[in-house]
Amino acid sequence: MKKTVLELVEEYVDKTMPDATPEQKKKAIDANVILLLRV
Amino acid sequence: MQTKEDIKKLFDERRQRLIDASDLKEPDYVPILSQINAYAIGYAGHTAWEVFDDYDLERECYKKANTDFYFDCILMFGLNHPFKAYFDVGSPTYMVAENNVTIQHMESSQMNADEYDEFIEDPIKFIANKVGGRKIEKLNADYPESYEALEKLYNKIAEFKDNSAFNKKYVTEELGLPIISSRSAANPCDNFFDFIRGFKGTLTDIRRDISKVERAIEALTPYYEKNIPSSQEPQFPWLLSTAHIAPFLSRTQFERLYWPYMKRCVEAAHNCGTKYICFMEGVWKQHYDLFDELPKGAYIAALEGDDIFEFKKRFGDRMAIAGGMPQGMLKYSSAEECIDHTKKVYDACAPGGGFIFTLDKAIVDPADVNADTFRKVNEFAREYGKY
Repeated sequence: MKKTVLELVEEYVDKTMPDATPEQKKKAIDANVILLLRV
Repeated sequence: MQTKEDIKKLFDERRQRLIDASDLKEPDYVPILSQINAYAIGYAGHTAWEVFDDYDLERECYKKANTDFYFDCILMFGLNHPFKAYFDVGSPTYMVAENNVTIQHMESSQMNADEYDEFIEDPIKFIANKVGGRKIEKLNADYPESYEALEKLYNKIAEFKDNSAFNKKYVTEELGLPIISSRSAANPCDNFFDFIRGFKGTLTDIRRDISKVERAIEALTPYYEKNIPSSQEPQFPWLLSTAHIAPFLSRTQFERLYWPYMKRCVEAAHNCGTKYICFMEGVWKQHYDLFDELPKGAYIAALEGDDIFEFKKRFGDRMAIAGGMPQGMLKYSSAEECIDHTKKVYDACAPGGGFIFTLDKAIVDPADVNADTFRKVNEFAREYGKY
């Protein structure tokens, strides 16, 4: 089974920020994706 | 043996030196800025591979290089990325050079010329799935191996950030050296070139349809805005930008693609009480007239290819200037020639304040400079720089 990178990042944010609001999660997803640019 | 109080006093003196210079005043001495990058590793007799897994060894290397030569402040202390973690997930973005010390950025483009509309529609989805997916090998593995690779990567990045915070405390409290910036305001245009479409691709696209590149950078910009100051900040440290695409843009291209964000950052830093220091790679002469739009004292220009004597004449009463010593001169010229050059630079740039002495570029290879010459030049500069 394959998952896209965005799905992986979403899963990571869900697991590490379980109590965050949808807006906080969206910001965290954006920031974590932008981090991948420099990887 | 220095006491904690001695080190604190030294740190405060150096910090004030930088504040005065950036405020276009004459401090007690011309501050001398360290731009020692991976040079520190080779200078201490180690390799990048040894340092990657050993934060204590990394600190030892950077401490040695930043204390064997006289400095008042530091641009960076330690590696600027968790490179080993990037290698471990199969990313080709960086490589260790044959000297086993220098870490090089390997440009690679993960976006094709016909994908602008898709990028503009949803940059986050594109960066994750197209850029990340194409570039980072282990994120393409079957699930859950791909997730485990991502989780490990983020954990390593977090560990690296913790170490950087520790390093900052270490250089402040143990070495009495201020780090000149607390955060970076990368220009989205630079990052679009560097990490998305590539240098060759973007420069070609600009000539074919600049409006598409402009729209792509505009779509990317909101994700960088958190780096623009929005509330009162300490006067020091400053907001940092390492800017390298500008010399390859015409005046018109620069004004459309680069300048709007850069100007916003400078003005925001100024309005929030701090400064914006820009390491201006290459030559920016074609863009000089735009600098007249910046508030007086808001910008610190760290020069690489621009003529520091000409720059001082033109902007010396409006902005602080950092630079003066070509790295190549420290490698190829005699100590006497380098000291003569330093004297000329100080005579032209130090009067009136607003001057920070430093190399024209960060040093990344143990062969970048002659260490003996470097030591003599900084010792001379320290003495000659007394106001």
